Amino acid sequence: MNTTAPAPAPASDSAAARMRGVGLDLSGLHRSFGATRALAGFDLSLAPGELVALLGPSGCGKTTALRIVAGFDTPDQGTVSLDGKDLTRLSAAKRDMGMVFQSYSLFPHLTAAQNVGFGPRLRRIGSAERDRQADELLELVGMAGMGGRYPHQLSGGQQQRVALARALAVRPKVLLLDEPLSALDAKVRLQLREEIRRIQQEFGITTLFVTHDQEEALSMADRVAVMRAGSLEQCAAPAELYDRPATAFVAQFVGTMNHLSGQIIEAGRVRVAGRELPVDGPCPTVGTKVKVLIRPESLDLAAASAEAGTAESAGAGQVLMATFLGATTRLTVRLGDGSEAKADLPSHRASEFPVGSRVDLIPAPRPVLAVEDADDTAEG
Amino acid sequence: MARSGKKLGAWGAVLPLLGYCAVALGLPVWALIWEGIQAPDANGVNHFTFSNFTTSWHGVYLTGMLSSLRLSLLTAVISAVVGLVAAYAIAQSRGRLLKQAVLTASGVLANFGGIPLAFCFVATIGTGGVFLSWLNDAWPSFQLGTFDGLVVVYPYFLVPLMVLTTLPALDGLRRQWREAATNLGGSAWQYWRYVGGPLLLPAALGGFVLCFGASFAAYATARALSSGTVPLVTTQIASVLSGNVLATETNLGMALALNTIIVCGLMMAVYLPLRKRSAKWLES
Amino acid sequence: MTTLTETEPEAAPVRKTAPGARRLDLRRVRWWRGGVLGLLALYFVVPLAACFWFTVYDSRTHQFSLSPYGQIFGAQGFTTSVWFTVKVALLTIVIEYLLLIPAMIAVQLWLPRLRPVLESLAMVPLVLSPVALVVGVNTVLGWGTNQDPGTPLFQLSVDLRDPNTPWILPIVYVLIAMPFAYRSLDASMRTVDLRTLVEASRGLGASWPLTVWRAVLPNLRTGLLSGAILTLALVFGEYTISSILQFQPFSVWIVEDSQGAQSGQLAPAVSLLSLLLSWAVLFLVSFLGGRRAVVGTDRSSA
Repeated sequence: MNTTAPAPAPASDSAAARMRGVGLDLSGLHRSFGATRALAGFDLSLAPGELVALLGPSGCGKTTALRIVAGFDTPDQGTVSLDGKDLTRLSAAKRDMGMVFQSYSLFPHLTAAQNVGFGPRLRRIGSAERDRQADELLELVGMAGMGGRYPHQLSGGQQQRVALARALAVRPKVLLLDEPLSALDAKVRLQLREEIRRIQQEFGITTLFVTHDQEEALSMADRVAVMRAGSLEQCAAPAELYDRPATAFVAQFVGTMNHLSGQIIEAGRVRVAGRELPVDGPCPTVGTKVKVLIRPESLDLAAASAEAGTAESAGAGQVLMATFLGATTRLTVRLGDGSEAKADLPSHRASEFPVGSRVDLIPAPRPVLAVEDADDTAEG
Repeated sequence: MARSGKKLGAWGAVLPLLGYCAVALGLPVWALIWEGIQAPDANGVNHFTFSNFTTSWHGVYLTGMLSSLRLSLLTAVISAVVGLVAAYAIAQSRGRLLKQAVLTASGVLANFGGIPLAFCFVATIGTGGVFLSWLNDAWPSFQLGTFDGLVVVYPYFLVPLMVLTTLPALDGLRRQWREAATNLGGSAWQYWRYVGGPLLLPAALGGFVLCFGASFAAYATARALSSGTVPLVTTQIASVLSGNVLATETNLGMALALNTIIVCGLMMAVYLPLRKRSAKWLES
Repeated sequence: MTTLTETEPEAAPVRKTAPGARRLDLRRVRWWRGGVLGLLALYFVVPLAACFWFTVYDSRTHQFSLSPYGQIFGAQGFTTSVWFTVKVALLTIVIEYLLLIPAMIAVQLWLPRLRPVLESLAMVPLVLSPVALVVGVNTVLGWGTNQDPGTPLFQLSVDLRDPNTPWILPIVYVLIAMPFAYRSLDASMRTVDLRTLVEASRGLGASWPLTVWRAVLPNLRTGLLSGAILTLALVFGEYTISSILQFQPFSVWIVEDSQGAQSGQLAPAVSLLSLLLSWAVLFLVSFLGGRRAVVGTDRSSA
């Protein structure tokens, strides 16, 4: 995946002038459905004009959180406030939030333009003005000239574009996106991703974006909020989330992660693959056997120093497989204890280690996360 | 070649059905038309004439047609409204078992209904029926074998018919549409006014037309309950044909039958375009 | 974009509504639904229950007895009429499927342009009421019997009305039952990928009849079964055509028997039993089939 996250995009000056975003605060949200706890004390703050992606495995409560913000559901506890005003109990119809649903949300008996004009029509805006706005918005989402088509005459991607225009037509204070790309083809998805981001920045509109696709979250969002079992695990800019995950769950959920066996040798230091590395974050007690989390790009390889069968080096193994990824090649190495590790090397260097060759792992000398062995079962 | 051979084989599979319908449908309809426009003169020789149709729109036959239309319209309106509300209540409920039970029961009642239903009602509010005395306390003039009696009984098979025709459309109303309308600032009323209503209208009107047609064509129930005391087109046709009338009247029976086809045909002409539209919306 | 602020003043008062408002609302919705379903259940169950009461309670002697149900099988004409009806129903189903299955497969695979034709054929009974149809049929048969005895046409129309195996009834019923059979089959054809199924089977070297028999039909069995059951129910309930053509199937027997001496309890008992039985069978099939699609939607034969 693309590891270079977009720089926290400053909304261009002209866009900021067009629309002032507002801040959105979710605090202490609890919501249970029978015995299932969908949200258990969920907090999140969105700065004006910011796009935050809610990322998490299915069933983590992200959709519930979005529906509570939209007003389709009411929390058992906690508040939602917009620009400092509590609107937890405000009816969904009065919240001024534009929502784009997963799919099939366009009204099938109305044309694209009529769909876009639906919100303005409810607000008693004249038909001439409505049509003008609809044309403008359809052009903005790349659907110029298609206003007369019915939803069943549009592709999935086109339908979602119209849905976005419809949500924007009511000039919402907040834009809510509920996995709007998940039902689309990979190619259309990539294209729409960029356009949604462009339009969001142009409007400077505060946006909450629910997705289970980490690549989508990392490439589009100013900040990514990772959820797990109804509460927030970490909320940070994509690059930070990737490089400095706050918890083992985040580390495993975002990107590819190696789990190497290691042992804490002194407070704040862990021995792994024959090296000593500083431990980032909470450190288990000295002597504990741990799993050390290292990204594939932070692992290097060297031709085996020890002869086969002699002095057992913890980082020694054999190349099992090479996967060409373009500029880099991912080498899968089987270690002495039977586990596997993945290392990303520049492709020209990877060719030095053909499949079957014996190698030593060399972790980059950077702080790493260490978790106790038993805790290794966290879901991904 | 292989391709055209396949095409030929396909036609071979379809033709028996088409041929069957042409004969089994075409002949009777042709017979109706052919005999309907003829009448025997004093010597028993047939002549082409429109007198059958003239007669069929006068006197008792006009009364029968009007009372059939009145009965069908009234029961269709009642059943359409009740059936739509019922279908909505069923569509909202989550229990699969309830849905299955209601749907299959509707299938049985709407299709098989007729005679067995009539007897259930006879046992309930017919002469000597279990609840007749109660009902007569509230509605003294009520009798099962009258126009009013038919109005009470007909919805028993028309409401299920309405449920069967509108439930797919109601099930097809997606939650997203309701939420999208709310999200755009619409009240519940506005949702029904601008989204739910227009989407359901074709199916609801279609259900109404079907109810009307079923009510208009019903013969068995009316026959079993009223023994022909309520003048209806269908019972008149049957009695015209039952033989104990003059030969001239058999031709009149054809004309009456043709009239019912014309009435139902007109209703279908309204229904078909609606159905097409509804299907397109709900599949998109 | 200045309209933003317009709705803000409204926000404050609304916010103060009772916290329990939403849940109250929900409860009201459920009550409403329960009320509607309850009233409907009353309208539909009371006649059935009253009918049952009527058949088991003798108001003169104040005694309960299930004897009307016991008498059904011994009643005069019952067995004959049921056997007659079953025969007609089976013939109807066989002819119906022999015509429909090949045609529908062919249309689905190679002649999609003909689909509207089939759909409108399935609608014909809605326009052509049974009464009108039977009048026409009767006339056609009359043309035949007006020929000189001994000519083929005369013989044909006599054979069609043979009291033991009256071919004319299945022939007409096939038309009347077309909507049920077509809808049921169409619904199950939509759930299977017929083309892949056929191509896979043909690719393995199976002949056409074998492909239809072993690959296609088993996949359509829910639709076939429910279509057959609905047809069976229709034939058992059909009164108009058979009574005007003067046959004595089940439904005609019920009506005529009720005018007989049997204290009037037999006819309601048979009616009730036949309604409940056909519902139970259909429910079972639809439930095992697990599909809502089994009950078609275009019909009128009351």
